[in-house]
Amino acid sequence: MKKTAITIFSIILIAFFASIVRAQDFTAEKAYQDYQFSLDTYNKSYSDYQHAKDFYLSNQTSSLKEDARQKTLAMLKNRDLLMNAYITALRIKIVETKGLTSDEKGSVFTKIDSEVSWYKSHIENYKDSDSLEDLFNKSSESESRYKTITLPIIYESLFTITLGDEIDMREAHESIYSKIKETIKSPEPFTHFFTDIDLTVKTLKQNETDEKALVQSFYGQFASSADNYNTELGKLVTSLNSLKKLNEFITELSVSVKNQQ
Amino acid sequence: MNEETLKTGVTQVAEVPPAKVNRFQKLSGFFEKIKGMIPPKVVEALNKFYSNKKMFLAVTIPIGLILLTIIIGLIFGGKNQTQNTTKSTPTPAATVAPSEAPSGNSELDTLKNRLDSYDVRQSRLQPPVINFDIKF
Repeated sequence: MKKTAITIFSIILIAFFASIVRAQDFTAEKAYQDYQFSLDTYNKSYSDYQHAKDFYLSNQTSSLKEDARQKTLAMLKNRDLLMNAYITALRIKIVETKGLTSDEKGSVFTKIDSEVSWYKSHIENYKDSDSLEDLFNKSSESESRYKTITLPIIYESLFTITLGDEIDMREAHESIYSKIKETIKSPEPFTHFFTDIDLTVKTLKQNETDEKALVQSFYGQFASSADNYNTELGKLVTSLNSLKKLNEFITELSVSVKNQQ
Repeated sequence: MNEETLKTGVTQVAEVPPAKVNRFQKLSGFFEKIKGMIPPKVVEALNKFYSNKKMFLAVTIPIGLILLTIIIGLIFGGKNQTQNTTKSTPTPAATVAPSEAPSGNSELDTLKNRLDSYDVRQSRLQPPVINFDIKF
């Protein structure tokens, strides 16, 4: 009796720990949690830096300056780590996004990977012996990289994720539509549905082609990538509305077909 | 077979079934070899550790369980990964509004829910706010 109880308990314990081990798979959700952790760490180190800076500025002793230098160094390292965690979260999200071809994904991955490498090697540049001036200079390198190269890649990634999801949803609707069509024996009563659905699908496909070309505008020199992203987001909203219409049309068709049968 | 065992010089083994004796001898010889390779100090420490049964069981059982857990996780963990990669959006199902589509077509209903709750801006993944003005 005692042996059986111990055996059952051991099996439950093993199953419990096995489920924990399984949960360690690197998914978009896990990558997002890693990013959130890095964000918390950065925010804490930024707050420490701010306090140390304020202390030093109010009482400029060499020990307070050293403390401020150490806090600045820690904050800058955490900032590079944060960028890496964030870009990685975007990458894994794209991996899981359907509706994109492997070439389209690969094109973004190449850009993201080069950023990950840059921030990784930049962290190595920070030395414990760096003076405040050195740290400010190295921080400027990160700032320049982020604003000129990283940010456009971030907006391209965000735009690509939404575009991929919209393509996936359009394809899912088309698949249901073709299944319904197969069940229809005489198409005459449903012609107006077909016209509406086909036209909406055509519009969506055209929008997708236009949207793919819009990505290049994030790398333009005349406006910030954030401004361009916000402008082009309107096109994705239009497509989402068209997808909602498509859903309504196919639902109506489905109901009509069921009523006829 | 009996002849073979006799060649090895182990005379008492003749009464025991020969095949079993051979395996046992080979195994014990193998373990003796390994034992010979371990430094005497380590062997002594292991013997001391094994002689204290309470301590031995208290240490080996949890380690064994952890190893078993890791092995099971590695064997069965891979399946979960492929399932996760097929997910297209992390939008939680709990936030989805109840379906209003009249068709009863579950696939269309699911898509409608997904469309209604879809976040075009990807708000969760917007870039973090970073203050680059750090000079003082």
